[in-house]
Amino acid sequence: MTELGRTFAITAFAALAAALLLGSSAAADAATAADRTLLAASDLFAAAPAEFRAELEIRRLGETAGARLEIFHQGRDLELVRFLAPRELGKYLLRRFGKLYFLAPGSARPVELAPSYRVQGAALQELLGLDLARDYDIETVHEEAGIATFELVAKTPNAAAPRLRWVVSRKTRRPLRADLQSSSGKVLRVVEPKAWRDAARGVPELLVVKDVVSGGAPIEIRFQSFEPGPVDPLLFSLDNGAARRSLSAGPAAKRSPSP
Amino acid sequence: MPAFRARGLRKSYRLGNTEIRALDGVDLEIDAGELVVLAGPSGSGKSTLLHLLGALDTADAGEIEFAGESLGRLSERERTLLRRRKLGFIFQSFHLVPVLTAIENVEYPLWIDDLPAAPRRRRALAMLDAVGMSSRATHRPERLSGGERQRVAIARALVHEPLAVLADEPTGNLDSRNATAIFDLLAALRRERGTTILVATHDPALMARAPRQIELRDGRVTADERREGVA
Amino acid sequence: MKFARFALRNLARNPRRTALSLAIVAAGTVGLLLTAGFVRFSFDGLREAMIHGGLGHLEIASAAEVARRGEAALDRPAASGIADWREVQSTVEALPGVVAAGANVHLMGMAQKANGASVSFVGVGVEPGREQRMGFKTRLRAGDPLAEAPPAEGEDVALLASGLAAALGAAPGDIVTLLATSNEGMLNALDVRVAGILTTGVQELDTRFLKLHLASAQRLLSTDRVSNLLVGLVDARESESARRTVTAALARHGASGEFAVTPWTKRAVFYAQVRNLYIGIFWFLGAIVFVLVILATSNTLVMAVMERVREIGTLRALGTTAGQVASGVLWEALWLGLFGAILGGIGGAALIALLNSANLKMPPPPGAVDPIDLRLAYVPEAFLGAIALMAVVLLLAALAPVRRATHISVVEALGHD
Repeated sequence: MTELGRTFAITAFAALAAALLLGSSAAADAATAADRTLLAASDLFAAAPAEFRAELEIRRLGETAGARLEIFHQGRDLELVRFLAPRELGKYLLRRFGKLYFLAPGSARPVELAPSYRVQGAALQELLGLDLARDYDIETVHEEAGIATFELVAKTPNAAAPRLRWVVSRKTRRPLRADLQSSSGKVLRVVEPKAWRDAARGVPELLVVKDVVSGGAPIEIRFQSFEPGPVDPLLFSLDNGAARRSLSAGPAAKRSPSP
Repeated sequence: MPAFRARGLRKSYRLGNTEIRALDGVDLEIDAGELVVLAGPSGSGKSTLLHLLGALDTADAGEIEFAGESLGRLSERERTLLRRRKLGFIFQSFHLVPVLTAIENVEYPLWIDDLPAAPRRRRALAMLDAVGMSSRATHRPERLSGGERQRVAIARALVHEPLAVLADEPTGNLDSRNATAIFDLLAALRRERGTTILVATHDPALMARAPRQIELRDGRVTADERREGVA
Repeated sequence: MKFARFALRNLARNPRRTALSLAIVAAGTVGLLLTAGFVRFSFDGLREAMIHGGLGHLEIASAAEVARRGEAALDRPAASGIADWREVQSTVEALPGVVAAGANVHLMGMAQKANGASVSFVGVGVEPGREQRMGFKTRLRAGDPLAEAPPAEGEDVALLASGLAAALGAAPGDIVTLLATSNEGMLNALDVRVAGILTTGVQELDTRFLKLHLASAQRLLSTDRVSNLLVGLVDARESESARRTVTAALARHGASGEFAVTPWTKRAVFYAQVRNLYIGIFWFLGAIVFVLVILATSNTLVMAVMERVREIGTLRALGTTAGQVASGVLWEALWLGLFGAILGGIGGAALIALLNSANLKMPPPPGAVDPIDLRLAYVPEAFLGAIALMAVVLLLAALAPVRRATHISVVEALGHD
């Protein structure tokens, strides 16, 4: 090979190597519009109506009894959780604009709780959607055999975890697994949807949550009903509890199984 | 049986690096009831001899018999009891116990021998009376004159009716009048009770009045003189 | 005995020296009595503080809970507590020597005031009437104590410890919301009105502690159970025999093995540690007094013997045995010990009375809040013990002088000036 030819070959090789390197990282890093769309669409309740009522049971595997809850959801920022166990009637968790409150018959005013408060081991965010599009930036996306793995970094303090690994099927656009991680990447909890009530809307039937740090049996969250429809906005009032009090005597109470 | 019999008595003391031979081979016999003066200058050994005869000390060599009993064979405790019951002592400085009254001082030999209180008191009073001190029975020695103290000491030496009384310079701290009176008292008591009395002295007046005088010089008996019609 | 009176006369021979020796012995005795009085008062105070500060004389708790967490655990979860506690209470209160058996609920959680910070708390729900009968003390700094009657729903009140109240910015009359979780993991909130501010006496605990009525605590925890029953007795010294009686009574009611009855001594680990420490200090001080008195009096006794060498020689010459001479010296020592100790006893009693009337205070111990009264107890055993001890001390001090007195040659002693 002549000197010119050698120079050309080396240059071409270097350019190809650079392109491959850049290309592969670009392929890992670059969150495309499609990726962002997939991420938003794959979130739990992503396509669910803005207002709905659901009933669910949270139970630790191996235990016979769990906590039965009724959830009223309105938009992204308002949720009311009503405890249905007879001894817990009159108690609520109210999520309003990123803050979480506890309301009980024994207390005249709401008590603010940490947003990460868990009911029977499960956090509200794990139950009702992590709001990935709002709360996370995509750090990397890795795809293999039709499974997209998003490495997400929280961009708001209200996010469920500082980092999140979100594993999604591109074909079904449904999440397969969520690893909630610490800022160093250590996996803290794992949420796995096991069955869907309304897959198109992202409404699960069964979620399984595992606490990796403290161990113990996994927690099953089973959605027993899901009713889209308007929700009384007064249910989410901090000052006016009248709407909530009327729930105790309303149809939901009648639907509650006897103790 | 003689009251005292001594054979070949030797006794030495160490004074610093020097050995002093206080007695250097003394032989003597003293009969019961005798009044004997041991005469000699200071350092002649008369006090040492008195101590050995009185079982207050032990000889380095030689034998002593008192009332037929060999002193050399006795234990310390046996010698103590011997002194308590069979010997009386009179000292130049009286040696009364200052915290005891006159009568308590006299009672002392009876008290340590566990004589009951009543007979003890009776005998002590009688003894004080014999020495002319019954009126001062309850006085402590500090309130008595030298002569009075020595009388009490004599009463103490005789209260338990010893076989012998050993007096070491009994008049050494008394004036001549008291000295004479004390010697007279000793002599009278000897006549009454038959007690053997040994007096170590260098008082010429006493020496002259003694029926028997044993002279000592440098630890040896140099003379042994009996006199008739004296004391 | 023969030389006892003789020894007294010898002591009177040198009044100044005898007085000094008596003063040394008396001073040593006073030191021991004051220390014993201080230690006893501290024990009594600590015992009463332990018992009436919340331990009671006996604890009745679930045997399983006691086996799990130990006898000395001071907090017991209500969820694993006693269900039929009223029956247990009436059974125990019917026994002789029992003042009351008060039910308690132990709890912990968060306290919050409107627009204020959240502060964690530990607390106890009690029966105020029974606490009062058992002589339990609540040191109120402000406000009112808990009422005897259980508060109706919505009228719950609490006493906050001073540090907790300060952290919350709460004062009597304010409303504070308590948040607690039952053992089943169920959260509950309860508004309480601050009835008063108290102190536990321990700084650390004051930052967290609160007290409320038993009914309020049960309401907050959504339980009918109680953590334990604390039994108050007429006489603290009967704790162990009462424990047996209570255990037997519970067994007769078919509750054998279900309950553990623990005397306060097994739960007051701190008391046992402090007690052992104080006893060690007392013995250490006693040893110092012992040595000092021996050294001081031995010297005076030796001087007394050396002054009487000629007299001892005379007595030996007169037929006094060495043993009798020794007995005389020992009697002198014994009289010094006895009289000195008696004087010290009188002086000590007077000093105790004086100190107690002076109302002196000692600074609070580490971690405590309030200063402690300086008070001394009268300890009869210490008085008698000090007399015996000083007699022994002086006899020991007399050993050297006795040796001197009995080993002197009679002839040398007679010639001594």
